[in-house]
Amino acid sequence: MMLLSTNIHGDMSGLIINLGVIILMGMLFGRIAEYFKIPAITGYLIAGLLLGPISGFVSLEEIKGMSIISDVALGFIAFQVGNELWFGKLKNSGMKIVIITVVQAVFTTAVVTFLTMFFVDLSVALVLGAIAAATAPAPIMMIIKKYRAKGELTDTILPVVGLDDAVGVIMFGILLSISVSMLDVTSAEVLTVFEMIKTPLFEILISIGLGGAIGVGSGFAIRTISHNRDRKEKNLNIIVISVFLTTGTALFLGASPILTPMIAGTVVTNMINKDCYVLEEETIRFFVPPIMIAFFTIAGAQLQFDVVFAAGIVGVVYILGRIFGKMFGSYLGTTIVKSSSKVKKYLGVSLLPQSGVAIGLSIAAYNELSVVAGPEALVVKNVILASVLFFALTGPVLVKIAFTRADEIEDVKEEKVIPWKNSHAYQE
Amino acid sequence: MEKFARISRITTDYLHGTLHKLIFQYEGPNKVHIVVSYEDRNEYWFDYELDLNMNNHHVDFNSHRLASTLEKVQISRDEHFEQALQELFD
Repeated sequence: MMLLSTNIHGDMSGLIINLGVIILMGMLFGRIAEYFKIPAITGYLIAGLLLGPISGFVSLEEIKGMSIISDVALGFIAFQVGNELWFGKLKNSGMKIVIITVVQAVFTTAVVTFLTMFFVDLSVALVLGAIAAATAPAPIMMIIKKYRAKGELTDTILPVVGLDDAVGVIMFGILLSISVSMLDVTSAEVLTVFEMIKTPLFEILISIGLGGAIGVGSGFAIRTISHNRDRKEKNLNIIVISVFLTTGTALFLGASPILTPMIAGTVVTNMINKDCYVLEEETIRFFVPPIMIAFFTIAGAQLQFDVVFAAGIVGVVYILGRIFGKMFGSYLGTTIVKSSSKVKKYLGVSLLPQSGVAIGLSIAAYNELSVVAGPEALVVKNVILASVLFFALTGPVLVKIAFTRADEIEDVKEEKVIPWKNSHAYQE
Repeated sequence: MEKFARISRITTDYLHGTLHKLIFQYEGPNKVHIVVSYEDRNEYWFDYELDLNMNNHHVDFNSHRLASTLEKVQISRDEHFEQALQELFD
């Protein structure tokens, strides 16, 4: 243990060993989580908790030395969320789905911002509100597939969760810029409305320009890749270059390191055909798992119990506000498009699970806010990490209850499957 | 080609998705690893992995998961799909 926790100045060996242990522990706990039918991300977070605040094996100082992992992982997360914004898919989903998604996301953001601003600064409340909109599709998908759900609720929720993260990330990018500009002024300064929106507007415009330009270049490059044995390798090279360039230049030029790769992802996905898109997804999936395991495990290790307890009331208000926002926001959206009473009643509860994207956004918020307001940044990170654990554990149960009450799931007998081992042949 | 068409039909019937990719990987004289990649109508992608025992033509379940980097999640197996696949190789 001494060997692993000692990081000799100028020597990268300790950092590399720690990273290896972090990925190993994350992988193990991810497997254990999958065994208990919980999304692997929850396992990564628990592994991080064990390595960080519980055992003290990895210190916050050591974690700071791994910031490149978080920047790169966030770039890939944002790029992939952008990839989901394929306009053909939006057209297929229909205007009703777009309206429901946008209304519930905006309503949730507004409710969480309004309720938490009584306990924290408005700039922090805006960021918490934006992150509250994100939803995790994994637990929803797990319940739908496991119980062979069918019906109007199922038909509505699947396209909504597919679009929800993209809407959430766009709102987050805009509100985080506003939040940073609000925190970046001294109390003596009095800003006009124009001055207040000038910096975020500039940041968003640079992000669109950068992401768009790099996205167009990547899209053209992917389209020209020939069908041969090197196809996957070339594809991966282009994606890695795009993510690194968008994230790096955004950080360098003061643009949004979340919006920029996301816009590049959106441009790329709308420039290539479905075959190229599938190949692109496959190559990303092949490359990023260790980065993602490290990122989410490190995120868990960053949880500080003292900050969580100190900001406990903010966390409780965030959780209650998000539940209220999702339920009534969904009710409002489904009422506007005249959905059935079943969908109106149960869609909101089914949208409560939260995990990967919310964690990513909380780390992105921490990275940006910590430069101008350290304590506020810590509150955002810890409140979101703690509430994600809450929603990751309770979300699947609530989704199942909602689908049962909506009478859309079959009574399927439980099965025991060991995920890492072949089993259960059908004997004649 | 005929077997491929039948697997495509089985995928549509039991997994309610469109077969996109089918991988047969020989892993020794008695074992073939099969990966069925399919897309459902909401454009979510899934990988169903099985092992085919060449001796007795039994299909062993390996994994069924949502194919996404962020939301990696195990999904329940579909017994009817596996049985249909086994009948195909019998």
